[in-house]
Amino acid sequence: MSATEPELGKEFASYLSKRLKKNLICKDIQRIFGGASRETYKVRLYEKEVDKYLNVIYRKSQESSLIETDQETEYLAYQAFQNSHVPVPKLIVLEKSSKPLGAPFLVMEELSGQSYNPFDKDAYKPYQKEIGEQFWSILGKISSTNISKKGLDKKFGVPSPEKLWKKELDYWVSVIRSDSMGVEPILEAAIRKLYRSPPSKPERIGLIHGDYRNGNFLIDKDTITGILDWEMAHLGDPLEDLAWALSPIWCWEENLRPAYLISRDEGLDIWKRNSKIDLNEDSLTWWELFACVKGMAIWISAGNEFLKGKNTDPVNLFSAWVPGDIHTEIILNLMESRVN
Amino acid sequence: MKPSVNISLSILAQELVQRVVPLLNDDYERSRLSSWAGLLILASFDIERSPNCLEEQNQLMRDWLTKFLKKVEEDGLKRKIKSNCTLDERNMNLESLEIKNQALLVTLVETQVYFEEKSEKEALIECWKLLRRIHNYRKVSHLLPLLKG
Repeated sequence: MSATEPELGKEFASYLSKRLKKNLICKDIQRIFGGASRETYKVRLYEKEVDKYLNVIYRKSQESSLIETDQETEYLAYQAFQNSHVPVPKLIVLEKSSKPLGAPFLVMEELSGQSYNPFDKDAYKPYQKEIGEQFWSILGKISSTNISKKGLDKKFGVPSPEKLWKKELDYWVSVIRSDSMGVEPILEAAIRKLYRSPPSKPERIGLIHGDYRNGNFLIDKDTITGILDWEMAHLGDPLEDLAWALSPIWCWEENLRPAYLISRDEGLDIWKRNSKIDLNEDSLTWWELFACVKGMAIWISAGNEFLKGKNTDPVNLFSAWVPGDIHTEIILNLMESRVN
Repeated sequence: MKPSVNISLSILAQELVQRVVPLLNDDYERSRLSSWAGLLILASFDIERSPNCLEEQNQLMRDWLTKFLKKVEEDGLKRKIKSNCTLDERNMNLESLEIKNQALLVTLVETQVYFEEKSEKEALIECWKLLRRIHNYRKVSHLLPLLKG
């Protein structure tokens, strides 16, 4: 525990005791490294009366956050998949106010399993096939979610199918315009290309995870035990998630196995079977270039947070340097082949 | 001769990873310090080559702009290209080179847009080759395996 964590653990246990009408004591609290959008802690709580431990994840909004979304978005997405074929942690509490603990937060039960660095090409060995099949089939199931049956249409608001691509692109371009610290000719060319040749209308509007990739799920040996980090969830074209998950950035050292799992063709077949969406290859190409622009917006934003001193976590500097560099190179590869 | 800045930074990064990180008990703090050490390694690769790299990149941009100037018919853009391509950069410090670099990049983007609208294929193909070369000066992605080590 760092110097301030015992105090935080105590306050957290006291809050949760009141909310759950239990007498909980914090036995351990540890911050998890890596996420830049939330401060995430693993908390081990003890309930003396029943002599039981409760392991929870406490996700707290950061004053300065790389991905600026409210906790409710994440909560609604997790809620949509409680007790479903999409494994997610069980929700305990959503606290929207900053009053109790200084910032809004979400509490979930801790799942078994481990998450890995998305840049580690060996993370899933020797279970790439098993995990790969689950990875793409779960995404297919997310893509096929009936949004009105789950009430997501009312909670998130349904975008117009014709202008959906533009809404997403406008948003990420606005992030680039507000946070960019220099001229990026490669990125600018990609933005122009996307505006000039929009994708087809989506076959269906679905729930988009927003950051579905390796590193954002837990595994226990050969099984995916949880899909995490839904803070960028929204309604949109399911090809957005597909393209993001396929992006070469998530398999930079072995481009033929997206997410360092199975081949692209195998993954797409599984996704198609599970989503029941007839894949439009031209639209997928558009969303793959879009994924680079969205990625660049996130990395530029991270660099800006770091430079302005809002959040000097090294993950922000790393994001600006390495993933930013990789996405630029992916754009180069995509654009160069088109101009020749 | 004294040890170079990049060698010194590399050694500092190794010291942090091998000697200081194991002393920390907290997982979060350990990961955070290891990340800093990795970033220090990246910085050490860049620090000594920066001024030369910028000079070379700026020259590459000036070469492309000058080569295709004859195909630009718009007076305002022509003037901008000419004014950006006449400056002597010898003995400029890093900060001034960076300012010049940004100005050239702005002009490059404007000229690229102009050629896209005119479908000037040769200029565009050359522009993408130039962008690839500029990117290669800056790239750090090939150091990814090193960061994990």
